Amino acid sequence: MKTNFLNFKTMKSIKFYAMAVIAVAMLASCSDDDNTPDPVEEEEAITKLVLTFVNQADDTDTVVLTWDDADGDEEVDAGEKTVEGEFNTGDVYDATIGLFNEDEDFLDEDILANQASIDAHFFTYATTLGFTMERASNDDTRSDNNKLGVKTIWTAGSTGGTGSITIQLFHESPTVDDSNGFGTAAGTDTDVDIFFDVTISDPTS
Amino acid sequence: MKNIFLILFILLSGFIYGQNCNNIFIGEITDFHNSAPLENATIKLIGTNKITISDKKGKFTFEDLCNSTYNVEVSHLGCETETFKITVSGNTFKAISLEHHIEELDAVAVKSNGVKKTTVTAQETVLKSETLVRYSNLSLGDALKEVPGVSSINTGNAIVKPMINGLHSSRILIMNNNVRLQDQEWGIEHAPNIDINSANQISVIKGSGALAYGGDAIGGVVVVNPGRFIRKDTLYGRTILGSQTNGRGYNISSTLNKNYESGWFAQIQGSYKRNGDFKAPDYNLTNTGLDSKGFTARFGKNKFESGFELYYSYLDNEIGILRAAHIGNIKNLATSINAPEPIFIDDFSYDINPPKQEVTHHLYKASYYKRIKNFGKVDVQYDYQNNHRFEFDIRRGGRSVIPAIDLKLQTHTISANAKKDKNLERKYSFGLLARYQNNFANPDTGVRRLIPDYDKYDYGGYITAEWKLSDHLIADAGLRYDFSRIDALKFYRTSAWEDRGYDLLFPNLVIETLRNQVLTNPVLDFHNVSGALGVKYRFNDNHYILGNYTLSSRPPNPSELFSDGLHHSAARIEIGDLRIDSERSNRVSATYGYSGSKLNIQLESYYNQINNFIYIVPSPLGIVPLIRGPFPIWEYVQTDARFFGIDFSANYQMSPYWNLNHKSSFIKGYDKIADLPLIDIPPFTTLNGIRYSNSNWNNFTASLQSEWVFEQNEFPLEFNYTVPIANEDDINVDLSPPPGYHLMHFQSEITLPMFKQSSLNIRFSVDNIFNTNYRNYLNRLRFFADDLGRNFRIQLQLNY
Repeated sequence: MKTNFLNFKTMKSIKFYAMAVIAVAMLASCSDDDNTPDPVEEEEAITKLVLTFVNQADDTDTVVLTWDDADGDEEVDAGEKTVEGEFNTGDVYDATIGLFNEDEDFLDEDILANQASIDAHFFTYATTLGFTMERASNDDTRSDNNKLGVKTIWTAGSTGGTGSITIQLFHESPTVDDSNGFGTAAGTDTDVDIFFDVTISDPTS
Repeated sequence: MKNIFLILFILLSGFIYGQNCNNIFIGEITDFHNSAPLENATIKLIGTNKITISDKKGKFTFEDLCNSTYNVEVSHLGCETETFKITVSGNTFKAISLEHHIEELDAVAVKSNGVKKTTVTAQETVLKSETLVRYSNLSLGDALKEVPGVSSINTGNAIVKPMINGLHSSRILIMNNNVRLQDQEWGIEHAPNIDINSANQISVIKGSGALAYGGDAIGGVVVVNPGRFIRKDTLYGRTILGSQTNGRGYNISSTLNKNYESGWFAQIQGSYKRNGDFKAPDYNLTNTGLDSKGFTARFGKNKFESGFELYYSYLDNEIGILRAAHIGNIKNLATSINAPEPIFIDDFSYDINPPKQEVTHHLYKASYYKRIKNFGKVDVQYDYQNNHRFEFDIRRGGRSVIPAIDLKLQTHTISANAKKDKNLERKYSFGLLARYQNNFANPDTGVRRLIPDYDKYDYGGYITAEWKLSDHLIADAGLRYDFSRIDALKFYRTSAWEDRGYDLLFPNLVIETLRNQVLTNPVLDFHNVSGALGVKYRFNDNHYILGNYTLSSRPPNPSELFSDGLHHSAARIEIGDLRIDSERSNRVSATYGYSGSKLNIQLESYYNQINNFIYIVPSPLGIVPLIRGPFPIWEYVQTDARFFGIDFSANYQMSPYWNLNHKSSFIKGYDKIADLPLIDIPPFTTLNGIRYSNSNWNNFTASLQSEWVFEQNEFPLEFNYTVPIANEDDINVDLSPPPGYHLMHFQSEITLPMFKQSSLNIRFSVDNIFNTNYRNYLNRLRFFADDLGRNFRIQLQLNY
């Protein structure tokens, strides 16, 4: 009986050692992997937004609102927002929005690429200043006949002041409405939600 | 020595009397596990009229045998009958060992549905096959709620994570056929990858008493067993067909077993579940469909002395997540919370669109055991798991078909255990384990990695002891040590790396600097010691008490260490911390049980003090403006937490036909340092039911169940936030718990005998009879929609 037990034990330990060797080999072969992973290129990150206003009366008179995510953290840091120029009371401006992912034109590639993409998006604007706005006739139109809001026409009010313009981009909003120009959307998924402080000044004063 | 003389004597006399039919066959029968002689065993020479019984020393003798081969059958009360051939050539001796304590020494089921507990002194509840079949169309997490004190944290209705005494995810260890499930369990939206139909018995052990499985089960251990085998020539199976109105779901599950008396066994099992959009009382829950395919196969040999098993299981779950739960920033969350209905309500559909998850899990196992005479049992096991998780989000430009999360987790484990049960009153077990795990986050997603690539190494060893001190008192104790190392390769945004001060704390971790990013190589080691101590005292057949203390330690999981980014459905930025260390739980529990002829009571109480408790809280950094809008930052921190509670269950047989049952659980959880109640603690819940059963009417039963869930009145109100909006009113985001609710459920079944040895069980049930609108605090989609409305279910179960 005792011999049997010993035999068994030897057999067992051989088996065990064999398994251990296999295991160690396995672990070693798995771990000596020197390949460092590739960084992920964020395909859908918006890293830059530009809203350019051009005075219809004078195309050298522009207001440019820019956010440029220099550190690539998607955060809107104070220093990353710039506003160049001021609005004049009563003047009418053609506005165009641009969105970029690093060097790529995000607006062109991801929103204006085809009708389905246009239908999936909607820009809304809001302001605390006396602007009125409409969506330009050459703006892209969704299948539900609402204009997307890339190209817009803004009329500055008659009184000057400083306030904000808020830009939102909705993705797959169940209902949208462009009837007041600024637009409203029922969605709860925004890709862009940013505001800029702007000034309307009275050139005559 | 005595035996040698005996053999010599026999051989000599055989030589002298050879060729005659007057040989003697002497045998000696001993008990296998401790070599004690077995008296009164019956020994038959089949085909002759010779029969005898063993004497006090386990010896027996047959005389007047010819030189021939005889079939010998040895039987003994409580032992498995053994037959073997003996060739008598002259006088012959044979030593025979039978196992007299098969039931105690596990291996096989003597009754096919015998309950087998995993622990002695822990708070353990066993769910048997009869209970589990009722959940054939649901999930593991749903079934475990049968156990008082077990709730679940849900993402919708198909993603159900078990929660034991308020703890979940990495704090619960799930064993599937003796393999520790490794399926990205750190994630709150990651349900355990187990097909409930593959389980024959499930044990829920509260606390970390089962040290053989691991030392980090601060919440508890769930042991899923696919069924034990009977050593007899038989073929049997079971098919379940089910259908339900809510979600227009249907499911089928079949199991087929083939067993042989020689110990060989084979089992195959497959199941398929499908449902479309579920429905709340007032509207469709758009995109909540499920498509689940499961398959398991087992094969092996199961003898008392040795055996092996090969096991494979496969599960593929595709689960839709409520469309309205995909939101942008925190303002959107506030809008969703305040909306009376979800914003996306479409007509019913079986389609599963993004947001959705698709997870496949493969599990391979090979195990071998050998029982050693006069010692006990040793076993070795190797297992491999491959968990592949895809999460699809709502994306643009056709990218919705590309997963936003693509994680592949592969785990290899080898383990060896020995159990010394020679002395059934002093049992000892010890074991060793080595595990290697690799996580690969596919960069082709076009979305920054949620969890980095990492290699993880675990080594563990334990020893446990069980002493039967008297007929009334059993004590057990255990000690375990675990080492684990995580070796990760993680990209941090440079700004985040610097914001957290890691550039000063861990400058050496950076192995590559890219524009706006650094690649780092954190290597983190954790040493953990865990232990358990318990007693069970049985006053008499009716009353018993259990007392138990466990110490358990859990190293942080990848999400607690490395989280770094947006969590969309929670509308928050979640940040892990490389400095997080293991958390350590000290849990004491006491249980009182009473079982009488009519009344059964179980009262379980516990106090769990968890130092360095890891959880996620709103960061003092507040709300940051992202280009997508404002998001609050939540970060993982460590605090000291305490949990305490009582789980109570009672069952009263009023008459032969009527039965009352009651279950309730009460739990409190606090952050001791911040002096706040913990978030996501289950509210007080009480289940009360009445059941009529009549075995004369084909085992007819009908029951009515009341489920009353109170409002959680302790919530860290500090976790609500106010979002300042430029030039507009602030937005308040109120995450407070929803009101309590009361639901009624009905269930009825009947079992019809079919042809030979077959039966058909028909089960009909109605959940949420009154179509009550409610929201469950522990369902993460409560911010977006009501929970399920009324549901009629019918299930046919054919046993054959």
